[in-house]
Amino acid sequence: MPATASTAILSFAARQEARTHELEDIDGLVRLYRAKVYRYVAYSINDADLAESITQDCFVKAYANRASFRGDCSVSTWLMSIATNLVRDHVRTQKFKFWRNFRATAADVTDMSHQISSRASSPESALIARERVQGVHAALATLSERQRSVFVMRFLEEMDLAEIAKATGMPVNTVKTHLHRAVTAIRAQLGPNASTLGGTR
Amino acid sequence: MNQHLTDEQFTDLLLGLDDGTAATHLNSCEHCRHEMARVEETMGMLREASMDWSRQRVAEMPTPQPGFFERLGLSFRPAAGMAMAAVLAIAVAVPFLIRDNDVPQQAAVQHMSPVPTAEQIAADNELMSAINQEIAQPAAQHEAAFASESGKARTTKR
Ligand SMILES: [Zn+2]
Repeated sequence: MPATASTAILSFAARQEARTHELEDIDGLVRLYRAKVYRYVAYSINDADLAESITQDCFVKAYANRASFRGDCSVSTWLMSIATNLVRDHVRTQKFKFWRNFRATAADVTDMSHQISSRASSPESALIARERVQGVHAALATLSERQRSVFVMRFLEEMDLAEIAKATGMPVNTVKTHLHRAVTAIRAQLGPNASTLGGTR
Repeated sequence: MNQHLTDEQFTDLLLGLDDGTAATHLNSCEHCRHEMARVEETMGMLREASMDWSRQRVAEMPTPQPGFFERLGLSFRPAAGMAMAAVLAIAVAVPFLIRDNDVPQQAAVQHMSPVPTAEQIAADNELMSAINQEIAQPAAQHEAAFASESGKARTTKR
């Protein structure tokens, strides 16, 4: 084998080693990203309990597939792409049963009263915040799993459109369309704009 | 300008895709500024509350035994445990049966393992086969429950 080729292979191996180093520390990975992955999955499938097992699954898959991580996106985006595939598998296999029961079981992703109250500066602002969050949750329940997934990535994870496209495998324009739909549904659900917590800027 | 922002313009502005037109309107329109503030504020509240909630849920979740992932990752043995295998099975048992019309799923599927190595494919196959073996009995009821629906799904495959 020519020296240049073996050098290239060695250097490639070294780069791979560095990129996958973070993924070797699976306990650290779980610690760092589990809440993000869990939130994403719970909102996407709108089922807080089932999201637990899918989240575990995501890290098992990430660890098993760690060699395929190319370092061309962040570990966070890569995990989101794995979670996205698991969510899709889930929705696909459970589609009929799942959507039939969807409204009835719309799981306790919606119960965040305690978390909202503990952050609010007054009972009044807590009340407004709870109403708003409930409004968003009600709007999200009318969206598809894909629309919710994209919404979470953009507005909760604050990923940019290119990252979302990468994590979901959707064209950027499709991501935009889903976001337009989500934002419009949420604004409609919130109703005519009457109150803000901090007022206008 | 008397016209308020359209939903389209509003969302573009929120996403940072505005060409400047909507931003100019916002500067001169109290109503639209108010609406933007309300939506941004709502997203911010939701972001914080949902992360608090998620952290709390995750803290209550059972944590795998030390070495669990390593054993699973390195050897892909069925010794991983029935519970986790059953959990895995829910997600992997009947993958990619249905294709939606509107989205290029192929791209998403490929994305997850951009250039899988032969070794990795072999490892994945071994993992999947180990899982399938492991869940054969415990998943029987689950399979039965979805048998008719899965059947429908298969027939709709394009
Ligand atoms: Zn206006």
